[in-house]
Amino acid sequence: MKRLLRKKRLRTIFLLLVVAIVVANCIEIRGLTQPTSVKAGDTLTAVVKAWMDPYWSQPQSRMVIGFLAPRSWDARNNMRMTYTSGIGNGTMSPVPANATPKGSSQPWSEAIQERVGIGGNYINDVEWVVFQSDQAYDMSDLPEINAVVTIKVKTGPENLRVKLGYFNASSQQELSESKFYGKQFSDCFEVTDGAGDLIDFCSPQISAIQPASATDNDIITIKYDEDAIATNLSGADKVFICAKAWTTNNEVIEVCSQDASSALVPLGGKKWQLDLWPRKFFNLQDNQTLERMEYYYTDKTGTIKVFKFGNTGDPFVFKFICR
Amino acid sequence: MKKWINLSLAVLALTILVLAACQKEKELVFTESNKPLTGSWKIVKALRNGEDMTSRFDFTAFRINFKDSSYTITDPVPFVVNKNGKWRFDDPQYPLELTFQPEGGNATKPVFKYPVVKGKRSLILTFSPGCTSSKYEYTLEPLPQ
Repeated sequence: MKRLLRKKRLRTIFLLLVVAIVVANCIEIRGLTQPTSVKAGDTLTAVVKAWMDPYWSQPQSRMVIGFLAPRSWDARNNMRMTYTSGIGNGTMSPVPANATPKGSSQPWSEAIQERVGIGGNYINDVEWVVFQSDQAYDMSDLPEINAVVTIKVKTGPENLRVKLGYFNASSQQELSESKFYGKQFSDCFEVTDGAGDLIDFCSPQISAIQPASATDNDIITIKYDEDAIATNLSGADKVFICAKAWTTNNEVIEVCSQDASSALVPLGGKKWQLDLWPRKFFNLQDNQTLERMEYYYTDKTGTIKVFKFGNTGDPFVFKFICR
Repeated sequence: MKKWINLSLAVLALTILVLAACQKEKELVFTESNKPLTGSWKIVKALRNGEDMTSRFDFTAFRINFKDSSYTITDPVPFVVNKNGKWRFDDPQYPLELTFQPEGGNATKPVFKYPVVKGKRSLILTFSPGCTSSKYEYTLEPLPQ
């Protein structure tokens, strides 16, 4: 009986060891320090503790760090990264445009977005910007590496709240399993004293437009989330947009017809969207350029209307500006 | 005598063999064919900042028709150019640059690829029709002629 028990215990220990080896992470983010807010245009400094246990063969490997930021920050051109670690200190640079993770055909930013998404941000106008160490190291069978990465990025001009994202990996390791990369999203970070109304990536928006920076010659996506505020339009089977646009010559063009061109597409979960090309939507002539538009949502009769505060308030405003 | 004749024939055969072996082989020269865009093309895939817009926005009617040096656009969508005009490759055999010169507008050179996928020539264009912060990637395929 004793022998049987000992055998069973050994088997359990062996199984636990196997599970531990399979589940154990090889790459992680083990710490993040960043301020809760900065002023628009100022530099945000974040410090990331990137940990790696490179027990496998990794000759000529570079440390890879991804940073999720609002697209309007242009972080690729406005960010600097440096690191200190037990195997060396150095600088980092953007990965080449056509670089892909090992064994993948997707560029780094797309591969990261597919695996870890955009965190808790409600507006998909953010991008993963990916840097790698300028120096490559033979990381084969090294003891654990604890790198401290300092990220300095100039914030954009707008007032906003956003959850920033951080990612670490190795250039010589496939991203085939989640244990081969680390990720962390921050709490809501705020840019203050900037231009325009607050763009709140952190909260559900009754209405949002993507990309946040666009001209009348972009395809813009108008998103309506009826869950954000209960309105008289909640539960409607069809939702339309009524819009009024101003050209740079102060001409006013109104489109409010409750037809197919202004009907939002239901996405499920009480969310709707409409992809439109403003030049066509407002039937612009070659010599007309849009400066801004105001819009609200209606039902199929055009009598129920949803504004900034739900059933009341001003119409939503979108300015056609490249930031 | 017979021995001599046999020997002579053997020497002759050997000589022919040696001479034939030394003949320089005809060099096979492969010439890269020109890569014409001629014909009508449609958009089969459209990405905006990596997001697939193909089924979300109506690209179905858009056509760009390339002739020898000119192009025409029907049912326009946000594109590299909005007006008809001229086009050219910097090198018809090994094109690295594709230039669109719209009527009355400035020349534009989108980033382009011209791969053959499953036996079909594709044209992949990357450009920003509005703000430069937004990148669009369209994959076009030629219509059967």
